[in-house]
Amino acid sequence: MSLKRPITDLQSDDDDSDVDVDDEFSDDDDELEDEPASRSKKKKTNVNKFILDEAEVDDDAEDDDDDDLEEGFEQLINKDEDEEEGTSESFRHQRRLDHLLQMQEEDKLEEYYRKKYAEVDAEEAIDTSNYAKNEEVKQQSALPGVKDPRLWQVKCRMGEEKQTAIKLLRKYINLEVNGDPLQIKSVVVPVGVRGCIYIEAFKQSHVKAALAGVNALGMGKWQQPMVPINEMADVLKVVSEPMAIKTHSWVRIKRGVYRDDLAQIDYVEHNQNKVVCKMLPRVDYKKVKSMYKDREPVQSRSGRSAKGRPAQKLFDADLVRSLGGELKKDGDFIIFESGRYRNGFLFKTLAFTGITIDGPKPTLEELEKFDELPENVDPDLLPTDKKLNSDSIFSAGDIVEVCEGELIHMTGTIISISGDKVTIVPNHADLKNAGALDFPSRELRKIFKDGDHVRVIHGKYEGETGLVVRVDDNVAVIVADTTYSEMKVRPRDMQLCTEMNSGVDSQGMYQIGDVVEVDQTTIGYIVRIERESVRILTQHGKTQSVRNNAIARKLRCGQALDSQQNFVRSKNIVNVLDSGSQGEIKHIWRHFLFLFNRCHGENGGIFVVKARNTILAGAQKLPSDLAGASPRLASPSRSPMRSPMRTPSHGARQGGRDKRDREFIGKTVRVKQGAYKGYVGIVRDSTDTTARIELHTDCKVISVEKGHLIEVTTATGGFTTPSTPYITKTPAYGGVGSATPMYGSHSGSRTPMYGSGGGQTPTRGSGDRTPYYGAQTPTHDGGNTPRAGGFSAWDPNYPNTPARSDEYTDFYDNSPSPAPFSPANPQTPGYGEPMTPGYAMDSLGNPATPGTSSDYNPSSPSVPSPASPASPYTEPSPSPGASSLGPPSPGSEQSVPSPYSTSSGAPSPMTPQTANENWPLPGIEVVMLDSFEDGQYIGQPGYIRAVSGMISTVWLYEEEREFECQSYQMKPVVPKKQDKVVIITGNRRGNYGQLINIDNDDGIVKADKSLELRILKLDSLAKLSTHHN
Amino acid sequence: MEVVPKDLNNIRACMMCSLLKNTEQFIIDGCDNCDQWLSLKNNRERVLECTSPNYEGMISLTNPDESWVARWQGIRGLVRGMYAISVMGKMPSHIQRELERQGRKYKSRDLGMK
Repeated sequence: MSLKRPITDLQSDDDDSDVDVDDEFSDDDDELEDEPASRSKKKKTNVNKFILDEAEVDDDAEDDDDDDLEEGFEQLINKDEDEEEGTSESFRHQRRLDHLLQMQEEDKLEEYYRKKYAEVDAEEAIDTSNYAKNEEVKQQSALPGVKDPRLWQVKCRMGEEKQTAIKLLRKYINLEVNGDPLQIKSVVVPVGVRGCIYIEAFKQSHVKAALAGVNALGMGKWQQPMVPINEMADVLKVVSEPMAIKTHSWVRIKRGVYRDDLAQIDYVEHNQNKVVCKMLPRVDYKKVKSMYKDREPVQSRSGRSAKGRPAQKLFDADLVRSLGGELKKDGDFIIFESGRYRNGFLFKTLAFTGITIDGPKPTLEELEKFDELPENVDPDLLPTDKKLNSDSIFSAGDIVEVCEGELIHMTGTIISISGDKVTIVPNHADLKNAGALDFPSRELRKIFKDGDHVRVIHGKYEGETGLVVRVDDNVAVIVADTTYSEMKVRPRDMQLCTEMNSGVDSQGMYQIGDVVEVDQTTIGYIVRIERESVRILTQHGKTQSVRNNAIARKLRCGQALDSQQNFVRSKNIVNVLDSGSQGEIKHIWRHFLFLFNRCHGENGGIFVVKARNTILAGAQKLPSDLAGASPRLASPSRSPMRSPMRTPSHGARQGGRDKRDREFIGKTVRVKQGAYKGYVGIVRDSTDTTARIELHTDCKVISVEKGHLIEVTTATGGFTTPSTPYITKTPAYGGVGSATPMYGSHSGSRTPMYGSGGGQTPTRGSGDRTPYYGAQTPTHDGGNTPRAGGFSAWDPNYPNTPARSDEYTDFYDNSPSPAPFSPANPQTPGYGEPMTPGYAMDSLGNPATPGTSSDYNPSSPSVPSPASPASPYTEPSPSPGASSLGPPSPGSEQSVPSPYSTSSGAPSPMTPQTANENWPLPGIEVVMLDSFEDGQYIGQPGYIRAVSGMISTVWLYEEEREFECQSYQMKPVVPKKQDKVVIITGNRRGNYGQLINIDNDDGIVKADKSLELRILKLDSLAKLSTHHN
Repeated sequence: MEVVPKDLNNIRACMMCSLLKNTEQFIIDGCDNCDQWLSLKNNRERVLECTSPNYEGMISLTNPDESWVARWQGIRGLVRGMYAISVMGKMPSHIQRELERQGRKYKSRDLGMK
């Protein structure tokens, strides 16, 4: 550049046309306009400066020249320059431009420069090293300017764009040779646009000239719209479509004997349009045999149709060798008949055109043959049906995250999907008013958080539902609803859902818990249902996967005898003798028992034992005749059990009956030893040594040695005597029937109180409310009733427990001590027995049973009737929980003010949410009940501003003022999903959190402090008011 | 005229300058722009290595010096001829190293990769 400019300047003094030439070369378009002026100015006013400027960058020769000049030579220089132009003899000129000026011809000079700088351009084009770092900048600077030729769109016959472009190039060259060159600069066949080409030229007339006589452009000859300057770069845009064929991606073979077979890309040879595929060989070993052994040429199957082709099988080199086949080795490849095999797979080189990536999705079995676990397969490499993609992956309501593009990491909720376009509403506060945004589905991915309830929509666990317990980058851990087992699932394969998996297979034939026969020797307990198969736990304790159609039939539950010849049936609890573990019988097949124990981690808690290795929980070693007879004597509500092996002993049983100890029958007794220690029941049958006891707790009849029984009399059963203070009696209970065995034993027989079932639980049944109100008074009086002293007695965490009474874990956490219930309840006959109608009669006839308790019974088996205040006895009775406070006993009732009389306004049995009167905490949102101010504000919402003792200060929104009221005059608002909540009962009372999900009566709460997830009863939670702080 | 592809079959694109020619033309004449570095002439293997059959778009460059398209594509000043807009594939690494030794840095012509 520096060299060029002075020279052309020199030339241009006399020949203005050279300036143009110069500009053609120049890349500095900006200088174009003012250059002539500035140059002449420089020349006239400040020649010296001009020279110095140039001297800095010019080559040495010129430098020397200029340096040699003295200031006084200015005129001389000008003169010299004038002379130089005309005379080629000038020495300086020779030194500077020797070869050029020898030519003396401007045309040649021009050509020289044109060539010289064109070469620079060309080199620049290829040698990009200098520009690599600021490539973007360079590309930006290459954007078209006003001086550049423009692009004109010309319609072209469909499919002939490329030929036409070549044709135009030929035409250009031909015409140029003929001396009448076309003025077009280039022809562009764009990517992805059909039916038109673009011609680059300065003028439309040049374009018209170019397309004259070109047939394919015939329809474009009338109009050629010019591309706007800012859209010119778009014409040359290449739509980014990443190469679909990648190493390890799965493809299908299009043709030949392997047609439609699955193959994995092992290596891609882009330059050759070839791939090396790994696939399962189809070697015709019969043919091999006949070729090498029998030496008989076989007719090759004509067409090698896909039907008659050999089966897919891993290459068996030994077999081929034994058949006489010749094998060669090439590295770790075995070469056999031009096929390359490694690890039994065939590695075949195929053209791109011979494979397809759009084939059907590989099935489980196909992938298994490749030793690939489906979960390990990168989904991106699987063939995908693009149309289905976004529909099947996303659905409206999904919460997604943008994973590429400018809005990366933004989250939003999908509101609609159309094709590949997914419309989401951003969750980000600043984007809320931006409205819905559209994204291509590939830019989104689903996100989940702990506690979400999801359904698996793809993959191995398809159809399962569960709770997300952990989310890692690309995998979420889900606890399945049906099996409680952990599953690892990719977020893209999950979907938020509320319903639970039923555990029924796709055809609805089998469900989890069924025992099925697979073949004559194998049966199994279905522990998991998968898409095409079920996972069973066989009688041998192994799990295996069985295809749905391989299941022969469902088996019914049988019966078996345990090690002590006790009959065991479904739902019995048995102890396993050698391991000491325990479980509930879920199913019996021959002598195999399928037991369930939540503590057993595998197979959803199911394990299998032999019946001989178990003993029925609570059973004692019995004389075999009685043991055999005992089930017969069970309560009439039990269906008689029949077993072939028992029939012969029938006669013997008759004899056994005669030995009954009739005196003992009907008495209320407590077991003082053994697994049922502490349980109370009524003697149903008795011999000299053993007795059959129907437990009060769950109607279960057990056999107990008489020596282990103690008769419950008024002396020990003093709890039924109203006048007897509780405190004095308590130690006695603790000594005799300590609560621990009842809770601690996993016998499955429910603890008395819990056994009454969910509907009967103290705080939940509507009828239970009354005693609570009644009981409230003593607490007010000083709260010194020993039993009521601790809040724990009222702790609604107890209500939590009945629902899960058969769970062996968890409920200890919340309840400070189960003791308050246990002593009182076992002796309260009839609470656990609502289903035994005949029972009450028995107890009536039993002198040992306190009259009061039998008074309870007739009323309690049916729905407790708190709504009938006329009957003072029945009021307290429905609530076992209340009994610990003392009021339930009829005698003490007189001393306790009636709830109806004390509380102003009749408390509605329906209303209270919790039995705990101490629930109020500041911030809780409440609704007023009709017991407050005569129902004046009933239903009005408000929140507790402060709590002082029993009095809460409540701000009612509608009244816009504060009221003072007591806890029973209002109820907390049941929180909804996403509400801020506070735990109002239990150890964690006062802890704050967020309710992230609701599952029936349980709420899943994320604690604010620990961020732990907890499952709590809904009614132990209260909604926090948003107005509160 | 030798630089113009004879037909549309067997067209390959030079991965260095994106020139389009038939495979045979590349073998006979080499690449008209890059042969001094790539020496494709009479070297079929090298032609297969340094040219790609997968390309997108086409430009017939009639005036390499004045064309804006050429400037945009970085092919200004190259020979007249057919060029691809985008060339898929990558120069084999040993040839890239070779080019570096000659002081030429290879730049992918694959616009789809971006």
